[in-house]
Amino acid sequence: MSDDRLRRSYDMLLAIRADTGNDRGGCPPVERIASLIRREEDEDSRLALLDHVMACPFCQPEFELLRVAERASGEQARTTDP
Amino acid sequence: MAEQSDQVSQALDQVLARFAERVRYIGIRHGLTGSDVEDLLQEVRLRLWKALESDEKILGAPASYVHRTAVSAALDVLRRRRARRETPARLSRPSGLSVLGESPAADRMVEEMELQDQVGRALEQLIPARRSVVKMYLSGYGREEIADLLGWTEPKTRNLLYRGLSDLREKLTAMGIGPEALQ
Repeated sequence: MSDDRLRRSYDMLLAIRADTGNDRGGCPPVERIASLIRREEDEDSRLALLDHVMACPFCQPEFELLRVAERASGEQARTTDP
Repeated sequence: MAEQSDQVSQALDQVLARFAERVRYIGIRHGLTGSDVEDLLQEVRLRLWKALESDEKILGAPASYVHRTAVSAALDVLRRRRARRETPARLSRPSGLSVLGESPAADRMVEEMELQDQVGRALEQLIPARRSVVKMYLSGYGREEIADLLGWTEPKTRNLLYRGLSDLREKLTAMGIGPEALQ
């Protein structure tokens, strides 16, 4: 099975999870998702957290929004501040 | 008074112009919806205005200050959404469902759902480091992004991804899903 085909199946899997329930009892707080982007926890914790975030149709967009804020403003700070 | 307000507004536009451009570019590329991006920009603008008040202070704010404001604004946007129990919009990546067409035949749909279930189960059988990397890859992240997030070298990331995908295919094959599955 090609990588593209696997990606499509995975995307559909997440779409179905999103449609079949929005119980977020097992989701980490947004502060922990932010710590993932800043690499603040040890590797095992980060892997466990990523494992959830990448399989959760609700945490994934939150992770992306935090990452976008971090990247967009961080790049500017690195290039313009002394 | 109105003139002062215009000057503050222009200062905010100026300070946020490049940030807004980057947020829109990166955000849309990574599947965020327009409303996610605009909510974030609005929150950053509001915070800078409340904290700095004058056009001089806004124009003099270092980029690192804007950075800290942007990150805490994103956190607050998400906290508020969770408090209101809003369901986040899914990332707008090309969905497999659209590939099937609007009204796929029922038997094709059943096959697809079985396949997704098996992909999900096979993924959970991978060892943790490979599993996370493969999930990121299947979610659309490139090797460099994965390496950056995990603080790994590119060769280490490539190796774990290659082995993870290979394990995944082996497990799918053991479940009866061959390379030709649902092309």
